[in-house]
Amino acid sequence: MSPVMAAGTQHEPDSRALSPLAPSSGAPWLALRPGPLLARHPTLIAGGITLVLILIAGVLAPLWWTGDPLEMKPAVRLRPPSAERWFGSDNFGRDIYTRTLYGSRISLTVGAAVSTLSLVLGTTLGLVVGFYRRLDMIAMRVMDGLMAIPAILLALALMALMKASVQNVIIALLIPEIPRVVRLTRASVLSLREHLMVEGARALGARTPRILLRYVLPGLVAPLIVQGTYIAASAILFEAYLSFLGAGTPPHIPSWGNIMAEGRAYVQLAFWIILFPGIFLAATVLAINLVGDGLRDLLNVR
Amino acid sequence: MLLAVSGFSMPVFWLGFLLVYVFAISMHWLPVQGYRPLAEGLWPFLRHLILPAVTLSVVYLALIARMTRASMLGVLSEDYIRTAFAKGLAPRRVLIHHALKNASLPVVTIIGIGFALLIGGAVVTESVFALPGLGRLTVDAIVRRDYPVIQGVILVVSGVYVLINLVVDVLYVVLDPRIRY
Repeated sequence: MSPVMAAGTQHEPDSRALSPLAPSSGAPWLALRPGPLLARHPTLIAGGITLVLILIAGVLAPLWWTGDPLEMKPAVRLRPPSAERWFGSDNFGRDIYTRTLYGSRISLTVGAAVSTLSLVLGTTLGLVVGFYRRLDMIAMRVMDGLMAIPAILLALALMALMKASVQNVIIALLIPEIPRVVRLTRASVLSLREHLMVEGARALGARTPRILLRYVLPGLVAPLIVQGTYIAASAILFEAYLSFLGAGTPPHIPSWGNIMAEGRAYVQLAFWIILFPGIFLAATVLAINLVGDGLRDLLNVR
Repeated sequence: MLLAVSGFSMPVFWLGFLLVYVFAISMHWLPVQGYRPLAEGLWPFLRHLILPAVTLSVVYLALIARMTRASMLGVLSEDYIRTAFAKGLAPRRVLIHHALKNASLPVVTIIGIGFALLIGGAVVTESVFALPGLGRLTVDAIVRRDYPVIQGVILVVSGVYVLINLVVDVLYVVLDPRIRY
């Protein structure tokens, strides 16, 4: 039953049976390369290591030779990167290196919170909606309506209605993500609902909540984990977009998006203000995407 | 492949500033920002659009490349591809006529879905390059709480989005005659 076990044997038997004359490896692009986890999933490992490094950098920011991210030193404004200030300083003389490390806290928090909350809420809604036909009709039209609005515009509009705070940024990014999770869950529930085991469980007297939790939910875990990584990656990007457009994290909190947003006026004078937080942001999102791709291959999620 | 995922992982505005720094500020090849209407001539118009267009394409390109790869890998393991190779067709012909056409359904889908991404990217790209487009209009309207404009933009954008999805659905029939509505 495990998806991992089903993965390896999917194409092999029939391609062998149909082509007795083909070399034993079958089609070269199908060959399963034996080897340790590292050799088979190099991107998963590389992404995981990068992610852990950035996580450590953010959590233990005070230990990495940083100063106070808010300390202004007007005498050393817009200084280029040097031995003293590794990433240079911004228009208030704040140290970009310090701010970038502290900024990773906000970005990682937003990414983790949005993906966890949207998975929990979206899965719950999707399970219920997929199982009750009448609710399905109404709820899915609402979801379709939400999905017709591009995520960034919806998040922007939500931020315009709320006060700027990290918590509200998470809410604004959460709402456009939920319909996508609901759709994914609902599609799986619709197919699993007709499964023989569900009918069997019902015949044995199991109630709907038990069927949903014990029979339907386990089949959803793998695709949801993969989806969760992609949601985290896009949430981190969107947080930066919102901050860049001036509708995100409040200016006194250093987030990657904020640092870059403040640096945009100084592109010609001090390019490093935008460069370094951007490198960190791109590396983080790339690492999460690589982990997501690796998990998708590992768990054999289509 | 790593390149495609990287394109997908970069913030659009960061890439925009990177390109501005290299091609406009350092090399002086292209203008930094701004927009010239077509009435002022074709070249000034195009010159101001090169950087924003490249910036905006990278994400979309990465998305499509990724989907095409995944879809092609699936199709290439099909039996009829081996048959096509076995009867001696040129690899290019097999790849384009036999594989790509059958692999293009998910790709077309993602082009449709990615349109929303393009709008989001356009909102950000337009503010990087100071282009007076729908994206800038939306951001300005949202910041100023100009609700009629916000409603209008969302109506137009959602309408276009729905239309694009309709076009995608029609394209399915062209690409795969087995599909009927």
